[in-house]
Amino acid sequence: MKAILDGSKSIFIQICEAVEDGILTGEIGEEQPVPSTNQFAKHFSINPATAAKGVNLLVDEGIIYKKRGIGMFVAAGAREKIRRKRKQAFIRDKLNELLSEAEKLDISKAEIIEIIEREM
Amino acid sequence: MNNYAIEIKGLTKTYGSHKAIDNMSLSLEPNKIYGLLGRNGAGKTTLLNILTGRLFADAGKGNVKVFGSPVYENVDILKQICYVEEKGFYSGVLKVSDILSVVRGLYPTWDMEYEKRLLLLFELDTRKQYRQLSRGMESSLGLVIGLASRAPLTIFDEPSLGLDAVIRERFYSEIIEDFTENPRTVIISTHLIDEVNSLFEEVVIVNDGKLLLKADCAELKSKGFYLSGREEAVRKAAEGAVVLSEERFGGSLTLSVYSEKEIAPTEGAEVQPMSLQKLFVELINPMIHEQLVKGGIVK
Repeated sequence: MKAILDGSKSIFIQICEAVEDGILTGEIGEEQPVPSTNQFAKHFSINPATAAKGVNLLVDEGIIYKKRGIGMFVAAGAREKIRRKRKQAFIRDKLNELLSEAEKLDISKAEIIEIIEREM
Repeated sequence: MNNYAIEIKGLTKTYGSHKAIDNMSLSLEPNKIYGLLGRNGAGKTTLLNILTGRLFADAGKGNVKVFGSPVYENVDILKQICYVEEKGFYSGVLKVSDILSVVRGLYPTWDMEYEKRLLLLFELDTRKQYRQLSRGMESSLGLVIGLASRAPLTIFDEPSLGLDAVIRERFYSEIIEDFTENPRTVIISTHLIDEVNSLFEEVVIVNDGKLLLKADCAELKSKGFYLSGREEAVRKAAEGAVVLSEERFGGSLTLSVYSEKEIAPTEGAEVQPMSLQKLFVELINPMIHEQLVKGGIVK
């Protein structure tokens, strides 16, 4: 899991994404425990309420769930859920950014396809 | 009785003709870390001095309660408040160890073991006399006192003055570490807004003796954006947001905006998050004060 925060986004969004990345790469498996709000707070030196915001977003999305008195765990099916969500975001943000940058640089569609085929 | 740690109603404090605090009302909940922000002279220290019973409000102008009771000459409440002032008022000939043994007795919640760990963490030599301490060491002593007191209301006024980056970082992680184990109400007044704000749950901004804003820190921070690019595209992206300032550079336009909703980048308009310090500077700008009041953003 990403262990440092930067200034690019809200802290709680970054916490969300750090957990999601950990689940996507398989670092944290489904039904495995996720660090607690206080552990996040201590690790990143951030207010526990802010850490809780990030964790609660993941609970709301059904990516992690709380077991009362025990802690938080990755939900079954979480990886696929994150993958689908991130794929949409990837197309919406990253690909659009790539295409508009390509347009600025006069890179043709054929050229982009060629590059992608070479790299992938 | 109520559930507030601090409740201030209609507080005014004047010095001659100058209103240091002007009809301020503010309630703070227990067990949260608050950031108190404001320019020099905005009234932060006066407010803290009144909260801790060191100063009187103008006669009949203000009701101040801490943990449900008035603070003045109220020993039961005062021993629950540890106020680490920007400048300590200890006698120069006292050794650090002497100061600690006096202060220790003021707080029933003081943790002696924790004090020892903190002295090592903040690299403080207890044999030194107070007058021999550098500005940084003086601040370190304040950190030890504030943290070790475990006082239900702990206030740090400019805690990082003169501290090097190593000690500042240690303080930030230590206060969170201890807060998660021993929650208490903490107020930190600071000018190092970007460095310290991740510690805060809420921020209180004071300006010209008035309460300008009290908000959830992470939420407030997520409302400031820079939009830049082609004028048309930028103006369109800024629809529905409050424009705080604008700047032209080359052929492009950059708007600083406050937006309740997330703004997505569009063709020709880039979006970047704004730091809390920048947002603070925009929000206290007197030129747009009326507009911000109308928009319900500040008081």
